[in-house]
Amino acid sequence: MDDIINWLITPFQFNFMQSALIAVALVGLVCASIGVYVVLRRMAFIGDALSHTILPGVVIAYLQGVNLSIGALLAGVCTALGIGWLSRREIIREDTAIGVTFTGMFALGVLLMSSTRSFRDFTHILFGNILGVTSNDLIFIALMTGGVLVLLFLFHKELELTSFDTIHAEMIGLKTTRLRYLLLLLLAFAVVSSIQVVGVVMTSALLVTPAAAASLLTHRLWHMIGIAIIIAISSGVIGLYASFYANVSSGAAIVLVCTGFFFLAWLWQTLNVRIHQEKQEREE
Amino acid sequence: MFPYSRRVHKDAVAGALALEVRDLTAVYPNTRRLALKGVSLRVPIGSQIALVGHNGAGKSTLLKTVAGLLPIRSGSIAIYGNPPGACHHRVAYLPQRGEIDWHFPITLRKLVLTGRYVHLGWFKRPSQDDWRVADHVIERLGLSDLRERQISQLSGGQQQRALLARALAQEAELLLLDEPLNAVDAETRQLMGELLALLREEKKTVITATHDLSRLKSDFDSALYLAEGREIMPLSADFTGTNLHG
Repeated sequence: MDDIINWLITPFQFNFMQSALIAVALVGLVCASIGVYVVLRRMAFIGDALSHTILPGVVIAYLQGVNLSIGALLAGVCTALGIGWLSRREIIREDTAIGVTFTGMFALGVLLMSSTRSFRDFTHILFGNILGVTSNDLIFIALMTGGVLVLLFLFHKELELTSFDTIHAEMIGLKTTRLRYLLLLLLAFAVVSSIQVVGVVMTSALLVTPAAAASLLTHRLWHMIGIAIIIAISSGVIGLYASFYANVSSGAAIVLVCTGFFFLAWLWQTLNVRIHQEKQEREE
Repeated sequence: MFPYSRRVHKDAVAGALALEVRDLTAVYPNTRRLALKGVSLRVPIGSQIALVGHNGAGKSTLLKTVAGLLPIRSGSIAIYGNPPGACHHRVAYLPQRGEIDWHFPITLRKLVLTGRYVHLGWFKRPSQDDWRVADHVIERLGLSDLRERQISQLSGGQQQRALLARALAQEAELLLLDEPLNAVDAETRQLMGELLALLREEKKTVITATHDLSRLKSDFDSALYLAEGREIMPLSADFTGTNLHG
C-alpha cells in the first residue's frame, strides 16, 4: 500500500510537476466545458483550425521578442472573428473556407519558424511543453479559464437555445450571429490556454474528445459538461504520470489517454444498446 | 432586466387588426427569387385562419416574414398595429419540425421552458413561476409523462405538441403555425383540433399553414388560398376536399 502511495506522490514533490498538475486541471476544465458546445454545434473542425492558425502569431511574437501568449491570443481572436465573418456569407462553403485559411496560416507559421535559426525552440509550441510551465503561464491560464467559465455561465441560457433552435432565438430578438462570435472568441481563449499543455497540433483533441465521449454517456447537458471535465482532467493527470515514469511526451500521453476514454465510452454505449435490443427481442 | 432586443415591449394599438399585410413583396431566404408578390391580408383579432396552397406557394415565407425572420422587400406588415419584431413576446412562430436539432441534449420540459425566455432577457434565470407555466401547458397538451424525455425520443406528433406547448408558454397573442399537422398521428391531430378551439375561447389569433383540407371546416373560421405567392383569395367551403398536391 505504502508503495502505491509513494508511487503516486513522488512525481508531485517536484515544483515543475505541481505547476503541470495545476495547468492540466485548469486547461481540462476550460476545454471540456466549451468542448461540449463545440461538439454539439458540430464546430470540431473550427476548433482544430483555430489552434493551427495561432502558429504564425506565436512565431511573430517570438521574433519580435513579445510574450508568446499575447501573440497567440491576438492571432486567435483575429481567426475567430475571421471565421465568423467568412461563414456569415454563403459564397464559399464554411468548411472549405476554413480548410483553405487554416492550412495556409499554419504553413506561414512553419515558414517563419524555418527562417529562424532556433527552429528547435518551437517544438514545444507544436507539441506542448507542460513540464516547462512557469508561474506567469499559470496566471495567464487561470485568467483565461476563469474568464471563459464566467462568460459561459452568464450566457449559458442563450448559447444553449441558439445551439438547437436558431429560429426561436431570432424570434425572441436574439442575434444568433453575435452569440456565435462570442462562442468563437471563448473558443480562441480556451485554445490559447491549452497550447502550453498539448501544443497547437493536438489542442483540438482536448476540446473534442472528452466532450464526444461524454455525449455517448448522457442526454443531459450539465451531466455532459461534468463528465467531459472529469475525463479531461483525469486524462491530464494520467498523462502526467505516464510522462514522468515512462519518460514520454506529456502532450501526446494526455491526448492518448483521452482517446482511450473515448473508446471506453463508445464500447459502453455500444454494449448498452446491444443489451437493450436483446432484452426487447426477448420480451417480444 | 436586460431585454434581448432594444425594441421595447410595445402595447397593441387600440382598434388594430391582429395582422394586416399590405402589398407585401418578399424573397426566398438567401436568394433574389421573389416568393411573395403583392400579397395583402387582413386578420381580425381572435380569428383562426388556415393558409393553404401548393408546396412552394410561399406559405412558409409569408409566415416567416410576418414573424420578422425574413426581411420585407416592399409593402407593410402591422401586427396589432406595430411593425414585425416590435414586440417579440406577442408573436410565436412554430417552425416545421425539421428546423430544430432534435438530438440536442435537452428535455421536453426545458424545451417548453425556452418559451419563457423572451420574458426573462439576458442573465435572468427562469423563476419558479416560469417552470409552473411550462408544466401547466405541458399538462394541457397531454405530455406530462414525457416531460423528462430527451426531445429526440419523442414521436413526431409529440414533438409538434411540445413546440405548441412552448408557444403557449410564451403567452403569445398571435400564433403562426407552419404545417403543424404534417406527418403527425391521429391523436395529435385530434388534440390540435381541441386546442385550436381552446385558443379561440381565449381570443388568440392563429394562422396555420396546412395541407390537410379535411379539417378546414371543423377547425378554422376561414381559409385563405395562396396561389404561387401572388394572390390571396378566400377559399369557399366547396373547396374542401380538393387535392392541392396535384
